[in-house]
Amino acid sequence: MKVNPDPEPQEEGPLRLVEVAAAETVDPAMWDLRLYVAGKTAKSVAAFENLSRICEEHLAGKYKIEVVDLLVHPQLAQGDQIVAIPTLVRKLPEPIRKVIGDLSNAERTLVGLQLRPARSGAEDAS
Amino acid sequence: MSQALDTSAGGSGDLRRRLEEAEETIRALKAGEADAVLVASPDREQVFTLEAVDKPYWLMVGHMPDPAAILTSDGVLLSCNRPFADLLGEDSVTALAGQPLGRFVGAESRQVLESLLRSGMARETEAQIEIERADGGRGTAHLGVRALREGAFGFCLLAVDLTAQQHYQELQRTQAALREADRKKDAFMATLAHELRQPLAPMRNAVEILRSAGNDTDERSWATGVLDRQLRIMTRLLEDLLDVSRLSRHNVELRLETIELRHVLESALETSRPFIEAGKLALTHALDGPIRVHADPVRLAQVFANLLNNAARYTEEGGSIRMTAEQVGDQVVVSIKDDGIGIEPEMLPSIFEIYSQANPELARSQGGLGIGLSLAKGLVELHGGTIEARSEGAGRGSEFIVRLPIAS
Repeated sequence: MKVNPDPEPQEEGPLRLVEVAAAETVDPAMWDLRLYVAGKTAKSVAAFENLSRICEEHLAGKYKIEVVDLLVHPQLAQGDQIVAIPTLVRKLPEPIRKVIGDLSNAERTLVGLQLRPARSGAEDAS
Repeated sequence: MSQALDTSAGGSGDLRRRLEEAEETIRALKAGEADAVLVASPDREQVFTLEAVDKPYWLMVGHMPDPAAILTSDGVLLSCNRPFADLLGEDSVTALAGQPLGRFVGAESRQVLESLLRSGMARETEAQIEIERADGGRGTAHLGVRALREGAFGFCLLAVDLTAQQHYQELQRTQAALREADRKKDAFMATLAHELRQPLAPMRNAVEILRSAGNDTDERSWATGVLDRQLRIMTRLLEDLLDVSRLSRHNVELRLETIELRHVLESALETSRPFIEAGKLALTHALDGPIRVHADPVRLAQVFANLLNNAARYTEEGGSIRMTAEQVGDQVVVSIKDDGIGIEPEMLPSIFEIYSQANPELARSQGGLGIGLSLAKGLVELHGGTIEARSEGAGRGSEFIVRLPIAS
């Protein structure tokens, strides 16, 4: 394991890193999603790609993704009690929902975001 | 987790949510879907990533000459090398990270990929996958998949395109086949030299006798008889060789006419009679008649003469040969059956191949190049027919069956 106590400047890459604004007015019909990543680890990159795809397929035109890089801003995790990274948090619509991992299982992600009802007895759809 | 169990914050619903989150966290870590953890202490938060652990794998994959990629257990690309990106028709290696490999797989191969990934977790597995490239092209990859242990957080898969290796193995097989063909050709050349030399000794003797015989007519006619016979053997040998060469170059022209099959078979019998009589063999035949075929009478007689000679060659003295012809549907079936040395089952499939001989030593001692059957097959096929060899094994005789279309 590698400890990353100091934030490093990020190079250009597939992740669009968006700093989180403190207060923002949000259209109630919009989905407000926040993805916590740790720099460009494989799963962080995978999670962002998978999330973008799922949103384009299911929420086209009515979503916003904020990517929070915890290597740069570890303190921003506090509000959402993040343990494992990557973690996706649905801020809006309420209630807050979390999906942990790289979102490679689209089915599980859709259920986690309540875009699709959970199949009975099929919680673990890996 | 004392924080997670604090129910004062929001009642039992909140507790349930936190428990679910804890379970989900453990599941994601076990499944290898998370590769970093955040550890919060009172004064600060620290992020630990797994990058350092799997970096050697990534470097290894990056430097492999064959297309290679690291995938999650359900097929999302984590990292791949340049050749793998080329295989998928994608310009950017980094753009592939996070994409499911299934996206680049043709519909007909999706299930193959799924079961490949599943069994790849348990053991090294290979399968042929049809690739639908990002640039619209199509291709084929022979993917080998095996599990990689990824630190303490579960498994991921290494997928390598083994197409180049496969080509190499194919080349090796071709090379072995070529070497075998070369060996057979060498053996054939040795037999050929032997066969061509054999008539020379009696011919030289005959010439000597002719020189010294003076006016002795008995001696002279004996010597000319020898020359005549040996010349005929050599001529037949060379004609066969030329025919095989012509057949292999598709350079044989048939002079087709509608003829009575009986005449063809009788002509073949006439040609082979000296061989059959030399072996003191009993010949019987039963010909359904009249059957007419559209054929080149000379070439077709050559086929049956070859089969009869072959039967005579491989049947011991006092044995018997039976030739029958009967009409079956719109075909005529000619069978030439002997009670000779038979054919080993493993020799049957290659019996019509040129240079193949059931028993080269025996064949050499009794004459013949082993090209007669190859010639017969080529000529029968030119006539739109088929030829088949049957034998119940060594010592149990052989049967050759020729089927030809009947002239309407």
